Amino acid sequence: MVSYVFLLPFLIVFGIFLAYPIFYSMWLSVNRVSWTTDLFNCFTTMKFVGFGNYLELLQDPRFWWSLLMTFYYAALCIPFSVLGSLLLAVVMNQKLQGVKFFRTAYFLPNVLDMLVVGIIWVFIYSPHYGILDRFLSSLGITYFSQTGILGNPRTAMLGVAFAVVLKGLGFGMILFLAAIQNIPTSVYEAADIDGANAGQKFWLITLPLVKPIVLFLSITGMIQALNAFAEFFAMTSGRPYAVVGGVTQGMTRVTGYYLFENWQTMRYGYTAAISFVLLLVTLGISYANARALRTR
Amino acid sequence: MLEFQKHKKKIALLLVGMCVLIGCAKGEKKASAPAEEIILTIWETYNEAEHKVFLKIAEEFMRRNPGVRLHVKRVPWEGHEMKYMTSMVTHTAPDIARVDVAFVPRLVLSNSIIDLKQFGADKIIHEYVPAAINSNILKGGIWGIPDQTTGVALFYNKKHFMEAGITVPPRNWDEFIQVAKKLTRDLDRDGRTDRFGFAMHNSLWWTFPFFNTFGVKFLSEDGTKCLLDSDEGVAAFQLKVDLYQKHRVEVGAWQAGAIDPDTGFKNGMYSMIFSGPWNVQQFKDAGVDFGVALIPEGPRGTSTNVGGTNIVVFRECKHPEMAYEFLRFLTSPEIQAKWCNTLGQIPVNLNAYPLVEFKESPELEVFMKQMTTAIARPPVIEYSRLEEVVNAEMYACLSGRKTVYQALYDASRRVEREVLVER
Amino acid sequence: MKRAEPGLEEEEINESRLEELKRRFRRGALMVVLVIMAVAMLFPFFWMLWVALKEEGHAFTFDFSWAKPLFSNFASVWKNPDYPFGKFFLNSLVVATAGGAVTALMCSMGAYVFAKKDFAGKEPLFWTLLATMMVPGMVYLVPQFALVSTFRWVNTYQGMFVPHLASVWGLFLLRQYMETLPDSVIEQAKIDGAGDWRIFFTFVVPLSMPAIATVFLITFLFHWNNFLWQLVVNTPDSPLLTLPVGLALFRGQYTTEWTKLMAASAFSIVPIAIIFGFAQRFFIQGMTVGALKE
Repeated sequence: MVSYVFLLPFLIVFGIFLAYPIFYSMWLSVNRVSWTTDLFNCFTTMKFVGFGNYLELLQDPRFWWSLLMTFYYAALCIPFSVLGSLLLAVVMNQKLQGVKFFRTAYFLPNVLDMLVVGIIWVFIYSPHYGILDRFLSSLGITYFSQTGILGNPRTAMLGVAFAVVLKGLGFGMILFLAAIQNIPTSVYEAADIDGANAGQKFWLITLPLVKPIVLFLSITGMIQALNAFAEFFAMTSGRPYAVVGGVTQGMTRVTGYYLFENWQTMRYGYTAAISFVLLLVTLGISYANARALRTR
Repeated sequence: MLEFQKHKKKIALLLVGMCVLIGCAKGEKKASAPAEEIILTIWETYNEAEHKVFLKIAEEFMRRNPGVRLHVKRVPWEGHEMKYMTSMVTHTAPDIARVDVAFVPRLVLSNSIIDLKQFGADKIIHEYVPAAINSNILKGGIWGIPDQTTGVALFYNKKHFMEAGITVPPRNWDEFIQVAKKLTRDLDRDGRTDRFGFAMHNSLWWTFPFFNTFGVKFLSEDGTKCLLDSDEGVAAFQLKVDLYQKHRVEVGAWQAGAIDPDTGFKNGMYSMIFSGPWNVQQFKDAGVDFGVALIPEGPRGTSTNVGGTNIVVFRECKHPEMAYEFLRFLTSPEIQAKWCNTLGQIPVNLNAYPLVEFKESPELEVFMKQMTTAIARPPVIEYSRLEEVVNAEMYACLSGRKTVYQALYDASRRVEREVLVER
Repeated sequence: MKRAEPGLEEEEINESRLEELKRRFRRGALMVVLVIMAVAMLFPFFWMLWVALKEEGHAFTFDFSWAKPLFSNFASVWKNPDYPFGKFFLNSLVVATAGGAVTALMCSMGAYVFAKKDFAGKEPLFWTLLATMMVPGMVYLVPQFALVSTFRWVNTYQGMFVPHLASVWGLFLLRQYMETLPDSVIEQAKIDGAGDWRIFFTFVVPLSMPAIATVFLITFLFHWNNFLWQLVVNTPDSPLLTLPVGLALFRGQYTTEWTKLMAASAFSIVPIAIIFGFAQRFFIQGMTVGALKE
């Protein structure tokens, strides 16, 4: 059928470069690549360990903690960015002065590499010398002077989430804006005739018609949060550390970062196992998310 | 719709232009070498200045050894280990590569590099600085030749010293605390400290100066026990923690999101830091008036940590004897003298020590003296994992969430469980 | 807007003047909020430029010690004799443009059938595709490199962007966007006897331009900023090295030379800002609404 023809180019590239590596990773996850694995003959000298990697993973308190931190991060980022960008889009849709300038200004942070943005926020948040601290101190708030935002275990994650949400708002805004502009004005005119106010127009017309975009942003937001790594690498490297239940844990040590640390030391089998557990978790949540948004 | 039609032509032109560009930019075919030549590829991670000197050294070697061609490629330091590893997996690894000291054990265990003993390396060990050559000796073999050895020393801002009326850098830890207190000042009287006497990193490597000056042994003789929680260890780390918590002379530069010691030192925010020879030129370029002194003495005198790099030969190299020749040439006294004098670095070859001139870089003399009492890192296979474990505990302690003894105890037990065990 | 008709009661005139004032006030307040947000968004850029213009030892102090001459940091990054900066730039441009364009095309074709047609195994296939997005990119690195190596695509343009062409993210985005397109247009075209290809190229693509342009732009950005893959797939002597890899060679040297690092980052942003400015017109199409009016 025609449908398959349209899909063919995509599926070919997908099959070779994405599907095969997944299967390969599945195989890796039941093997152990250790220090003694001969790198020149990697695949022949790996050791088969069955579910060994998975067992080790599920017994590591640091892995569970990283999942917790990841969900916390997702819970911070997703609602704020979806709602925030939707509101921005609604506002930008009106005829205001300089709307083109604002649109560009809000989208531009997306363009910057996460590493650079991270470094800049680090300096804003720094203790003693950072701009935020200077500003707060001038108002008499010296709570953050000693540690800065990122050094304080309670606010570190909030700091990172804020920087990331701010950076990504423009992107959601563009999507929502385009979708809103697809809604024929006749629908709004009919609502006006029926006497609807701005709030009703928003909740009963705009929101339902942009639901596909909301779904998209929540699912991709969830996926990005679960795999998040670059922002943490740039800003905190998983620190600050605090003691939780007798175990020292990093307060921004999300699963993406946990995975990176293992990947860097070449524990490819273990890393593959982590990614599959993560995959199952993400799949479950996304599916539930999709169902919830559809049945509304 | 109309907009799109308008731009279709422009887009088509763009695509065509791209194809042309791709065609043009493609492939510079390298001329194939004559049959007799020996070709060696070298991947190095030097910075700009070092790279230039290295190229000259390679040229000199080729001059003295006609029939040998050296292809020198510079690899960014960021991600270089991963690059080496992926190149091995696809059999595109170089012949010779510069690697960090901590990476060598991994290469040895995975049988990726060649034991140089077969070319006579065991006979020349004594020519090198012990801390530098020792990182290459494992399991009875000699796996590389050091090309760079470094350690940290105390950098201090001369201008700040003068302003506080201090004439001589501190010689021991007590003096250090006094000096740091005088340097920590609120310059503009607004109730906030603007300048801190000291700034430090948290990681294990940066804490070795503290541990080493107290004579802390890291591992037991048989390598199965971690001895950080000994009395000396506790005393050493307590000193470090006090600098931040009790005496308040340290700014907290080790915290997540804080301004790191190097940057703060350059910008006049911190008066004293630990740093190494790699920063000397940079600080000079930034116009900082600074001096270098030995690490303050603890109960066991002065000491420091050891960093550096080694040069190794990969297993699939077809001409390992010639590669070894090059390594020896690179670290020969005359070449070392040239390298160290031009770049202001510490020689790895003991015979080069008398040839080094200190006119241009008086700091070098201090570093060389410091290296004589430096202690190499513990011979742990997975050094990065070691750091991961210990750093977390030290951070928790510094930020006041664990006592010194508790932190070191937990760190030692975790090290024994997770790092010293072969996995 | 209703104008006060002559002869209305005075109270009503005052009412509408009050309404007018209220509206102006709300609009004014809104503008203030928008401006503050714009400042917050653009702040990183300004700060980056600010640091890039200062001399090294004063990168983070709040004085005004500018570099002498003012643009010397930019000059030393650009004119570095060992770095063919122009070549890196060109390579990045080629890879990013090719990657963006082909991805946009492939994804829109695939998204069309997911959004507007039904076929066997549609939803399970979609979720399978989505699942691959949930695996962190690092995991793909070694297998993809092994593949590229087997195809002898190391040090080639195709090796640098082809593995990432099947962007499930792009497919997902375009599908969601296309779902918001009213079916009426397509129905009409079918009645007029148009085949799928025609419908796709003359209706769906132009109407989805904002989303397609977005996919192009984001994919372009991805390739432009991609460091890890470009590092791995090129040997160090490759003539095809891209900007991030070239800049990393600087970074090794300039790790704490923030002024030069900011100057280098500024260089990689300029082309994107330009492209976005150019592509803006594709995003917001006022006239699509006109085309759909019944």
